Amino acid sequence: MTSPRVLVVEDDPLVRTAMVRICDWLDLEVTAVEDGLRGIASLADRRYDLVLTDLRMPGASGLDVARQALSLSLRRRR
Amino acid sequence: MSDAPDPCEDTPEDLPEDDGERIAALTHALLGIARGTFDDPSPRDGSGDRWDVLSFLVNSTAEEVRVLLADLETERVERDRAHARLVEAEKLAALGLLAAGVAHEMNQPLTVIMALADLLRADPDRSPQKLEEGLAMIVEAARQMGRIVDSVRTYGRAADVQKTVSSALLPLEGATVLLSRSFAERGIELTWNIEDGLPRIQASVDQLRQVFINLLGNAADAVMMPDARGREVVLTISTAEGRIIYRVTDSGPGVPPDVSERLFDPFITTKPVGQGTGLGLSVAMDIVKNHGGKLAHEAPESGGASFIVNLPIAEGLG
Repeated sequence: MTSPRVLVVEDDPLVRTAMVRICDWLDLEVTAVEDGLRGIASLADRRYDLVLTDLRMPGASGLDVARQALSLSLRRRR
Repeated sequence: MSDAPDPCEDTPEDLPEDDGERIAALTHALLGIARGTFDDPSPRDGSGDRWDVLSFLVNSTAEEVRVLLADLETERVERDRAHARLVEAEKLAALGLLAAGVAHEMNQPLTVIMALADLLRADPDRSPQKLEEGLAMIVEAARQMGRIVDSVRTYGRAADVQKTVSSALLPLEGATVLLSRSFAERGIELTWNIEDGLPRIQASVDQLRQVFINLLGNAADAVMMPDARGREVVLTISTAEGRIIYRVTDSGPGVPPDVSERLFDPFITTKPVGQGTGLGLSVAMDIVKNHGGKLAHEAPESGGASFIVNLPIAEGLG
């Protein structure tokens, strides 16, 4: 079985690095990006099992990321 | 002497002529008024003749002017006190902003420390490598908190105006560390354009940081206005003719023409009531002048506003 894929969207470098580290510890396959727009772009690139996003970020907010994740997941389910 | 009647010769009957002593006394009293001393009135004999009436009028004028001057002085003192109170209010407002910023800044590394420490503690079988990775991150987070504490500590010593030779970037870095969170939260993009090999400056870093906090804070407020063209603030640092030039340019609506002439006067503000005391630029101007520098406003052709701080390079180090 392959590891679950996680997308981390966080603009604070310290928090982002810590989250990546923790995901590594949990044997998750993790991708980390530094703002909402990159987060939305990453969602289009591939499928993720879990998205962990900050709320307030430059570019697009965490809510924008969540909306995009939801709409993609609904579309892919059809 | 002309043939026209001289009004001075048209003396009433009751004015005794050739009273040199009384003219001298009146002249003396009037000179006192002209000099602003009112404690030497013209002597009166109480006779009610024209000399006596003139002395009375001169003394009344002196008294009236004295009272008016005293009122003026009282009002000047009150105005100075009100100004001092507003400066204090501005400082407190800046302190409130600082406290909110610091709380945000501290919370991030604190969350990291708590999460990592909790995870490490909850895993009894943690490998040495995992422990090492976790502890290294905890130390890094604690260092970040230490840097924030340092920047606040120097902010608290704002009264210290000692100038030292420092990096030209130091005051700006101090300001952007404190403001970066509020910029990020409002989606404001801060771009740096820095010339290579900048010379050093002779400055009170604390005070100059206050200048850049004020300028960057204004720029942030400007780009958040409804008629702004975008949410961009550009910081440019360059050198020219032995001076170092900092330029803060925003993509806001620009400074209204009727305000631009009085921009650096105290109490001039374009911000909504309660959001600005109108002292920020006036305080910044004082500090920059105190550093032998100039603070100016320009309206770029592309729109928005530019504020330029022009400082001398540290002597013998340029």
